[in-house]
Amino acid sequence: MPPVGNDVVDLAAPGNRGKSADGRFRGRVFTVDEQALISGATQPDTMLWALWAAKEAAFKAVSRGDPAVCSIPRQYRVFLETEDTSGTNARLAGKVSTPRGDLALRVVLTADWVHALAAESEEAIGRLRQRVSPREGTGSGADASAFAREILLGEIARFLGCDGGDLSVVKEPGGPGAPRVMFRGCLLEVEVSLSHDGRFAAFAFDPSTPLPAECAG
Amino acid sequence: MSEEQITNKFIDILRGYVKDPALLEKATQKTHILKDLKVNSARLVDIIIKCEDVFGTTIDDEEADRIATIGDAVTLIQQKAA
Repeated sequence: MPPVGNDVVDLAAPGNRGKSADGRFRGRVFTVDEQALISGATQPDTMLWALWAAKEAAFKAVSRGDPAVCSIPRQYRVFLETEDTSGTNARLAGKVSTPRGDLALRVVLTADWVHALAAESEEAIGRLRQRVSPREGTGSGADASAFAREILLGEIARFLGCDGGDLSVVKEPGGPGAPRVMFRGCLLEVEVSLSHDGRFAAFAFDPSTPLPAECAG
Repeated sequence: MSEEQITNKFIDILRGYVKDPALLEKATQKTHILKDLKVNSARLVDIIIKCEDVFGTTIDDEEADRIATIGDAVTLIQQKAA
């Protein structure tokens, strides 16, 4: 399955606000060029978390097939190539150079959150079904995970035209964040990625992989 | 510093980053910091920086990359103190 990764960051979550002023965090996580992007941004915190989300999305994508791949943030180098500020939300695009090769990148920046998608090509990103949704409450981490799974399964159910009750998410033991989707007891060959932070949850999946015949009907 | 002292200090550090204190009550050396304690990756970076301050040491990228469980962190800090 082609790699897919997504990551959402709540810009107002405790620990996230004002992070661009944390020099040790910046030095440990970002390359010199990335730090220059943060310093030069009109909203340094937003740029910092956009770059972080890009690295996280890329790591999720490559670690799916290689759970032992290194997670050192500075080994996931972000290169921004285009910036589109014409719409309601700013959009960045480019690539992430990872220990397992380059991935295409797209990041949406809003006043409340940033959301990054990483996949093998710009076309692959374009065909992803993905969404960021606000959570209703401010419950525990477990609740946030459940909400992320719920919105993912709802979208897959709409895509397949099936009942949401036919679907469930299981976790593979290897790798951080390696969810798999079950359809009527069969493992669905679809690459998915889940994320949550603070008030928001997000998902992405690649709908290009056909439903296995044994699961249909 | 004994393994028990390092463990207790490390768990004290974690208290500042784990949202559900009940998760820490049953923590063991095998407890996975991200998966079991629901700490996010950005906070793990903060935890490593805090460890450098509390234990008076430096933790490089490769060493940090090997920290998955509480036991991994305790062993690393113990080795660096030896």
